[in-house]
Amino acid sequence: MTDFTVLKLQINTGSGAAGEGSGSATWSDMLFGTASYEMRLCGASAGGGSIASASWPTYLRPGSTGVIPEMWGYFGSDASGGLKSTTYDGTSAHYLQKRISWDNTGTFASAPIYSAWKDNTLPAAVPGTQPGSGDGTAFINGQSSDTSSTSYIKANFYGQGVTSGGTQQTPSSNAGGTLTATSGTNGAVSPGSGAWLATWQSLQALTQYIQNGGTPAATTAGFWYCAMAYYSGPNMTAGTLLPVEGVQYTWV
Amino acid sequence: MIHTGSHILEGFSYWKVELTSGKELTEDALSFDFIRGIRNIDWALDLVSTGDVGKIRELKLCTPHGVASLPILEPYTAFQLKVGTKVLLGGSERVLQAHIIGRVDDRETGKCTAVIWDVIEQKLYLDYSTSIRNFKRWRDGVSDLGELSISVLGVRLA
Repeated sequence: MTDFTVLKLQINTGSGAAGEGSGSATWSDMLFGTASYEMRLCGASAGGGSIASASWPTYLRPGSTGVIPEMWGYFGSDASGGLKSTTYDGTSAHYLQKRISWDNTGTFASAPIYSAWKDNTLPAAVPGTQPGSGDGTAFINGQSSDTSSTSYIKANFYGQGVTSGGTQQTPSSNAGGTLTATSGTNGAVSPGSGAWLATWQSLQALTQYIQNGGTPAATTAGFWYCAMAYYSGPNMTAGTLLPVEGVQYTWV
Repeated sequence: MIHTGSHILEGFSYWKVELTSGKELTEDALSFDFIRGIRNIDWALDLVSTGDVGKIRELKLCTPHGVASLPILEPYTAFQLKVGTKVLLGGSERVLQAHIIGRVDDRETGKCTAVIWDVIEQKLYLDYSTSIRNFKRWRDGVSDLGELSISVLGVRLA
């Protein structure tokens, strides 16, 4: 009974500042695995809320490594109801972008881990090796010239979500910190209690990942806030690239 | 999910304990309570919460590759846990990766002996030596688990 009934990703689909200084956050469940729940990346001002996935604008491989600047969520309909994530632009100047949500039915038996993988078989990364044809490994493995063989996916997490004492930790200021295409440290990095990581981490399977700084309190619902930056570069293999992200955790 | 017996044919495992009273409890058996209804025997609910976790004299891991056993010599030194990943972006799978039983051999240092059923590899790791204070990876391609929560597991250290 100590596994979670609900463990999910939510993204802020509020408009304007969406709670970052003004306005309010709107946390929408991103129910991957349910038809037409998708997150899509694209060039600046290229996306829209009524574009079928088959017609989604191609993001051209850039001449130099940089962030993919725009992210949209689709919530159950392939060509309608899409919402722009206004708190995503690939920079560190945001704090209410995504969060991991869990209910009070479960109990972590150790500090949970967050990372990204090629696909849902969760294979090990091969840092620096681009695939022959585009798939999720293009993001995950990175490339020596573009990312110093770190992943193209960077993340920052805030605090512990819920402390061992049961206190929810919610950010109120931008993630900040060092964020570059080459950011990444082998093994786990852990944000301090009530703090963002000073340097963003590359999400590269279990080669480079983020581990919570503590074990959240038992049977206590919580949110673990995070921000992402998705890069692309001239040496990245093109194609339909569909990496996955997830939480590795333990329970009794 | 309620399961009995047949799930071991699907590559999974379950724990079994023998208490000092001679009573046996196994995750593979069913129980009932008025809050949850019919459910599998549960480590937290039926051993930690009841205090029976301190009365274990033998802890077993039943796997498709046989049964591994750890004799428990001191109370509150037995533990078990599962390792899994919930895909949150790009999928929704919940993947069980490993099932671990263990025994703390040194309450001062946290040194422990573990048996690990690696669901991905379908391989049994016996007599794995690590620490409950910093549980290390048993092979490449998995992560260090770090410090395990002794209160959740029902372990008491010095």
